[in-house]
Amino acid sequence: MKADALRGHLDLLLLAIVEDGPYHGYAVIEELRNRTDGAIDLPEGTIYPALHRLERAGLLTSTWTEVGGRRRRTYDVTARGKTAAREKRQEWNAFAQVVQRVVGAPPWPATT
Amino acid sequence: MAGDDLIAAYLRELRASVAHLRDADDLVAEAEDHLRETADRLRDGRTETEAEAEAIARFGSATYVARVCRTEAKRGAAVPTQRTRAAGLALFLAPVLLVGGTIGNWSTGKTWVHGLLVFISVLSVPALFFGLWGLRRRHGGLGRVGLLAFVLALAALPVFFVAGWYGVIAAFFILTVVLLAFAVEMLRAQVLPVVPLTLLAAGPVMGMATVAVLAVVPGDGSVPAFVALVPITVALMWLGWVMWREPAVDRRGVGPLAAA
Repeated sequence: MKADALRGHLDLLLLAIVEDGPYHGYAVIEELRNRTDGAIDLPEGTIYPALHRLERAGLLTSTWTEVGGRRRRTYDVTARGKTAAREKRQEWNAFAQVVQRVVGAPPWPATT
Repeated sequence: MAGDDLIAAYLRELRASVAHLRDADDLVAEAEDHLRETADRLRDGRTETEAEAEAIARFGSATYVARVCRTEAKRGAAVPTQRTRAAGLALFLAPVLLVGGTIGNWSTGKTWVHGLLVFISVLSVPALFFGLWGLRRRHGGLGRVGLLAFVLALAALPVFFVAGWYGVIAAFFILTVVLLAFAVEMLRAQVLPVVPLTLLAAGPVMGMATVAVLAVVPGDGSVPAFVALVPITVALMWLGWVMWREPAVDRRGVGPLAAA
């Protein structure tokens, strides 16, 4: 699945994953790949700017630790982020149901 | 950072590409952790160089990642809160207070009603500033331009009170520049409706264009202010109304989840 198809939904995907965390960036991407059986396979470096933006918006919080001599940043969802995730999930479900009603509807009977 | 391997070279390129970003150091540190973690996991059956090359390929080119960083840094996260809703209401009311108070000020005698109307028109200033604060907050800060514009707006306040009418004109000029900067950054952020944002950008531009025309062809000096203020007023009220109508994410029982 290409990045274009994800436009507008990446925030929900990231919030939904980090909600089950805390996770560091690598784990978020691994989880995204696992939960979608590899269908969502973005350039991995593009996830971090999105995580930073969600943190700036107060939806995520992060802490730094030292692991194997490297600095590692771990993300967790804030209370506001949990509410935002529920809102976005609800919006997504409503949208998906509406689209499914259209694309899953039986064809109009032929009238020839 | 390791010496001279592929990942170290990549990180140098990435650092150069994102050097202007506020969180450049954090980004590079995370990239290093990610790339070395990936390379470690890919090492089975590959040489160290192959594993690093594969890790970098998965991460994306430094140029591409830097471009995404720049885009994301400008984007808001569309986070309406109770405060941004209140700021939206203030933004909506600011032009109403200014126009209503000013008209009343001009049309009434020197009574207590006149004093009240002057007070109401002055209230539009804190309302506007609270509204601008809310717009920034709503967009996750609007980057350095948003911060600079907000500081400039604060700096316009003392200018307003010095040098008589020249100070007033200078303060209004500064505020139109601030609103233009806000509008451009918000258009880039793609969070609020395009039409009022375009109006917000058009107001200052039209006002300045009219000033330029009047410098060549003398005419009524109040025209530029009118030309700028009409679209700005519509835009601020529109944006304020949109923000006020949004369900806040930090309040229970509000918005589409209320029944859930």
